[in-house]
Amino acid sequence: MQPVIWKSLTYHPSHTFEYALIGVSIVALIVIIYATYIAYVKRGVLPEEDENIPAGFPKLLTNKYYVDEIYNTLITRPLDFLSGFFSTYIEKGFIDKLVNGTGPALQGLSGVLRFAQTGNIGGYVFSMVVGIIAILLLTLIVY
Amino acid sequence: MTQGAEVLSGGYEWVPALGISLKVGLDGISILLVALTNVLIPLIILSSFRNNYSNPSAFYGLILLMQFGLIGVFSALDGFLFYVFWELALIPIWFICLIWGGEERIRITLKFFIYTLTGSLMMLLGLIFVYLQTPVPHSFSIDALYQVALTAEMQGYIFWCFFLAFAIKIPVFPFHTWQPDTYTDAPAQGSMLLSGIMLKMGIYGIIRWMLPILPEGIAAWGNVVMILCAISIVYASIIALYQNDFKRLIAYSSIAHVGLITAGVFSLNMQGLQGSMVQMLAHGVNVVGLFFIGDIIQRRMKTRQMDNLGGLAHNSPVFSILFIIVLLGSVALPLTNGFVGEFLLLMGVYSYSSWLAAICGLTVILGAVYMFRAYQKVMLGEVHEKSVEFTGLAKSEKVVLIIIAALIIVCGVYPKPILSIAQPALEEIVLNLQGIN
Repeated sequence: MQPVIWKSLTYHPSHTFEYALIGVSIVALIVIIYATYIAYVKRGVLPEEDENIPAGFPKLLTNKYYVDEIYNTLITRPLDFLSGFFSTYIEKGFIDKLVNGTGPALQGLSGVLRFAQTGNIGGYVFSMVVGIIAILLLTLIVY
Repeated sequence: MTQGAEVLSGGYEWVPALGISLKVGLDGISILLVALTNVLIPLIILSSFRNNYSNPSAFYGLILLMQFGLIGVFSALDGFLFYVFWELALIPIWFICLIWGGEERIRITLKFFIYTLTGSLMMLLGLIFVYLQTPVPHSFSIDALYQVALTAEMQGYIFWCFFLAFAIKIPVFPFHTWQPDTYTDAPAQGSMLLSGIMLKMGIYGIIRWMLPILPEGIAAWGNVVMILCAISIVYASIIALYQNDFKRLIAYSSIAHVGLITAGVFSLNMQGLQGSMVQMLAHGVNVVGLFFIGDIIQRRMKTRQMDNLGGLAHNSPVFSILFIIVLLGSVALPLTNGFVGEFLLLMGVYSYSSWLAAICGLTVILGAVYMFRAYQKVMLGEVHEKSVEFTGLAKSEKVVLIIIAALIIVCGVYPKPILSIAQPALEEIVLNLQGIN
């Protein structure tokens, strides 16, 4: 990704170390293949029905350490719940209503303010004088 | 923009008394976005050939007018001209959504219009203020605006004037609620224009106008924006999981992706800015592909509800392969365009804050969850009774999707030209920011 990332990694593991890693993996693989061969081909052991598996470690292995169940409980279900909650209550129930509410709010405000438009000149002058007095009083209080 | 980064420019005086000129020019940042516009618009037009829109001359005329507005936005070197093009780009898309949109189009386009216009007016306010600080005779020229030295406090106020406009356009949480509705109800080509190109105007605006003019405002408020971006990413991704409408799902996924792009810009470092440039292009290509896929499905199946679909891959293997390539680009699989951008963006955000990078990184994980879930519902599993009618792709549809798939792979395997084009202009911005902060 030049020119943004131009520094290459300076650390390179030795070939001996790399061969050792490869060797360990291959040995582990051969051991597992041999053990599987002995158990299922030579001895002809067939997997037990789920309900016949004894409790404890065999049950744990059968259920794949319960990883799927734990993942479902800790990740999938809370995420699905949050997703529904955000979509229904935060997005549609709050933010959307707040934004869409500005229209009716302005309409409501204008509905009230239109009563101030009486066409009576005396009323306008009176409002203006009240306004001037309010500004003067406010100025006195602040300064 | 200085002479060093600028590669092409020209201009005439427009209103000399007000210091307004018709000055346009391109640097690495603009070139990439103009290229994105000019690559995507023909694809968007080609993608519409199977739709029977009423009054097609008006429809295509508006798309071309929008192209004019977008190129203007990406090349304007005068603040006022930028504003004119910004508004000009809004008008055609408003008509496209209003005339050819879905059942709710009137209410939704009005909301979209009010939202974006409010933001635009705030930007105009900020722009006029900065213009009035230029030496007499005042000028809207980009060079004059760049040289204005505002106090830190004033930059903070102007920051929000500009940011509101850009945050609505991008959109960033909580200014986003116009977007899912508009994307869903707009005609497919309208959604492509909005998401593929138009939202990039907001990110471009931040890079071109905010970073150089308001560095102290950015320093003061950047962390707030970063938090908003992180919320955008997580919030939109989680909501996307809940969606059953394919178009609405893409709309929310888009909010998450652009949240990360904005975070990259505000990380104020080279990786973040370069990532934002690459990801703007990648997101543009991918989201146009996804909306086109949604359009293909909707036209044939008369529904976008994913629960009513299933097993489409059985009827059209070519479509399923092209869909998965676009999807992989969208979920940022290595060797696709999405990976390059998101990798650089996350690096940039990590340099800013490791915690924020961890939160922003969720976009990749959650993105994969909702996109693969969508693919599974639509393309795999048992063939839904309606899915039997799904026919293979037409020639024009294949051409569009193959070009998009090719762009996804080519830009993912060899992004260097994109990075090299943007480098000088972005370096200049970063150096300027480092000098001030």
